[in-house]
Amino acid sequence: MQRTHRHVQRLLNTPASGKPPYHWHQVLGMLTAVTQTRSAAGEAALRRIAVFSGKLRLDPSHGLPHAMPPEDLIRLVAIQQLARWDRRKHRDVICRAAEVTETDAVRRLAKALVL
Amino acid sequence: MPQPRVPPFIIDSVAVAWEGAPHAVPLRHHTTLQFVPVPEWTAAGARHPVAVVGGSRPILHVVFRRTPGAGRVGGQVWRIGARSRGCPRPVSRNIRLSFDGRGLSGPHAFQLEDPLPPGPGKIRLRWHWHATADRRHQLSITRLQCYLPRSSPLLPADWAKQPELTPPKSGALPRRWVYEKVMKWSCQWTLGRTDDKAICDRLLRNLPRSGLQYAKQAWSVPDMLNIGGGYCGGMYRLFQALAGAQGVKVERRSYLVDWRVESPRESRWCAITVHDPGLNRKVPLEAASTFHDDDRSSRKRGPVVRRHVRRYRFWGQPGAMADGHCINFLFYRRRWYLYDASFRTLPVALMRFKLPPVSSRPLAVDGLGDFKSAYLANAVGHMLGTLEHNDRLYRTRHPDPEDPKFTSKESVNGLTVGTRLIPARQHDITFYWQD
Repeated sequence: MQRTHRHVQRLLNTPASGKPPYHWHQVLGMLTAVTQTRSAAGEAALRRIAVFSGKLRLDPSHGLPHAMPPEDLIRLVAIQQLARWDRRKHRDVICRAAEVTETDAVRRLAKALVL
Repeated sequence: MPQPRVPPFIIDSVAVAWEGAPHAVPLRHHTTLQFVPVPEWTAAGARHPVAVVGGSRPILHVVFRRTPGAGRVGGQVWRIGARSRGCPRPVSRNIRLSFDGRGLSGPHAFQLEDPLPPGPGKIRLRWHWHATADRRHQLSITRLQCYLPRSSPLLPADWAKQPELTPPKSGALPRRWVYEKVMKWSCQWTLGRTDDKAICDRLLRNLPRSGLQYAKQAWSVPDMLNIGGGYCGGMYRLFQALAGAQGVKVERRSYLVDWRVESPRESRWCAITVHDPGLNRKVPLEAASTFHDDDRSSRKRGPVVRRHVRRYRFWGQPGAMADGHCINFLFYRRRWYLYDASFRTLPVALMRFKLPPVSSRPLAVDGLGDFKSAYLANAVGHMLGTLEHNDRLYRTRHPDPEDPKFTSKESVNGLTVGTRLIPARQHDITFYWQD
């Protein structure tokens, strides 16, 4: 999973110097990989995603999420998976996700997950 | 020698949306999120639009400025009023004017003599002000562009996102406000329509006139207005804002893909696919990709057709809420109407439909009346899944980040089944409903 985590790190460390932006499909690939099997590195990656407050650098020509900004969509997936793995352990970042999100659905779900 | 007819004072400013003004609607700039300055008309050159509920008699706040060298003006009683053409005029008043050290009077209230025309619409308010004491003096001519919403706008909390609802550092946020551009479009496009459904229909039909394009990188009303378009997550809020400007309440819902892993081999559905390019676009923005379309008739198991085309894919996530499409609903005369501001210019009348509650549990479309046949099957051409067909597995998969060629890979589409072919009665299509 080392490559996966390097990609996640690069995704969240915007702006990447000189490297082309990711496609939305590749972000979905990263999400699928980190949510598939529980691991310490996967949890750490999802915790970073959940509280990410920057702007992802993505190539829009290959599609983007429609219902919400990409930052909030990956946050939505991250908090669901973290809650599934260990709600109590990840309560802090789920609460923080409710604060940083701009999307009502994410905020509502985050609040419901920590109640 | 007759004295030159120098007016003893002039109109310094006219304010319509002063703090607490009944019937006036504060307007806001989408670029700066600042409110349109009040007073809206000043002798110094400010000319800002105003919005007042149609049919009301707003009260103006007028400030006067003493003309230098005009002699004794303060303490005298003046009969002040205005004449107008094509719009109601302010009621004339007797006022004892006094001026402060800067030569300014306090604000004096003038109510309009007659109600403004009913909304939706707009009107130019042009007043020739005059003042009479010993003789009549012409003061200034003031002009204001006035938008006339049908009724008091809905609270912005209905459609705005949190940053828009956060009070600015200096001052409080009024309870009701509307973006200036939203008010302008809403009043222009719904001119003369007073019925809730007629207003929503006109808004939907005229939305292409906005020039906004689908699939620009925005998901909120101000961002969409700033960059000239957005995704459905912004479009449905904009539609609410446009209707809300006229006091019309429309609901918003997003139906998010429910990616159900049904067996080690099969998943339905991984994404919804939309063929329509969207508002003010000729082709979908998303790059072409290869689809395996199952368009067989319901009784025949036909071949899968391979197509390399542009379609939007709204991706789910296995076992979780993720992406989906966002639409609006209007309840009118005991019936629900669906408005898809991103892809359609006509509403869809629904039968036996009930608005799904916001929930993190998926809901089958079977229980939503004719939602599937009247809307979904037309709007969502195909549902994308990982499915077997004629003994072949069509697998949907995203690029694997462990693959050294990951950065050049794209998602692979499994089987795309025509939405109209999917049985409605077997809980085959389920969505998460959010707002």
